[in-house]
Amino acid sequence: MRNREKTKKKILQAALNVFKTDGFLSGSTETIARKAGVAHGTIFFYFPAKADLIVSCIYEKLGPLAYKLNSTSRGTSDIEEICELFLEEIRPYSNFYSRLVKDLPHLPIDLQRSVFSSLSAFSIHFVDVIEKEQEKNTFRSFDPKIAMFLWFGLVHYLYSYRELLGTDSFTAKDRKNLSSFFKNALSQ
Amino acid sequence: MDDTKTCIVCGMPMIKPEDFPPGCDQDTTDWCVHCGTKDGMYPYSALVAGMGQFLMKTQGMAEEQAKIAAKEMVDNSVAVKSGKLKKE
Repeated sequence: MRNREKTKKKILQAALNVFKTDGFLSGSTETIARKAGVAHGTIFFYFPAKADLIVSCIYEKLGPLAYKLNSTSRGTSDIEEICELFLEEIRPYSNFYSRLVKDLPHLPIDLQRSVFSSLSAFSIHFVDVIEKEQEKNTFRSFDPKIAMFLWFGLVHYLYSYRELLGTDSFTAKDRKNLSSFFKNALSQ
Repeated sequence: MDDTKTCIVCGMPMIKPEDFPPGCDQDTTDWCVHCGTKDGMYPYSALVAGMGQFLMKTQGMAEEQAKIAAKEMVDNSVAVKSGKLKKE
């Protein structure tokens, strides 16, 4: 790996660690530079603004997560299963997801849009399944986006209050119960 | 993940044959079934409009917000940045 790539990777890794403990808003570029072992100004050679560093960090984690969510939810025709998959797939990203849902509303709106758009590949399966169930009259009639708001509202609540609620300690049974409840709430 | 082709317009992973435009050469086609046909990508305005509808459906965005986000997404896509898709 060339030196420049190595330095960039080192900065990115330090930023991920700093943002994990201090958050995207409070994590400072001075701390990141110190942890990466580079001069403060060096950071801005690779990432012109702190926002660029935040974007890179988010995509470093969100990219693989979005990919997994998309590939595992594809071809699934049961909303309960999709919800369970979602809860299962975000578990390894628990710390990151928790930080993201807490800090995202305070980050620039173009960054918020990018993050939401990244999750579209998952959401489309979610909405499609609901529409198909509605066509079969197995789900009540409502705008599918309301179900999506409810689901993400629920998940973001669990991850905003992750420490308080002990979300990381949720068992497979807890995740199944949540998903099952959600499906029943939509059913006729 | 690294080997998976993603659409140069919307970023959708193109994993299955049905993710590609029907009849296209999958080795040389970089856009998904939603963003073009085997003959090429849809025009810029159609892609922005389609993306707006997609965001309204998948993110529950209001129409005006979806339009802004869609334009931003397409403008920042590989397709536009590489010059393969011309802005109108």
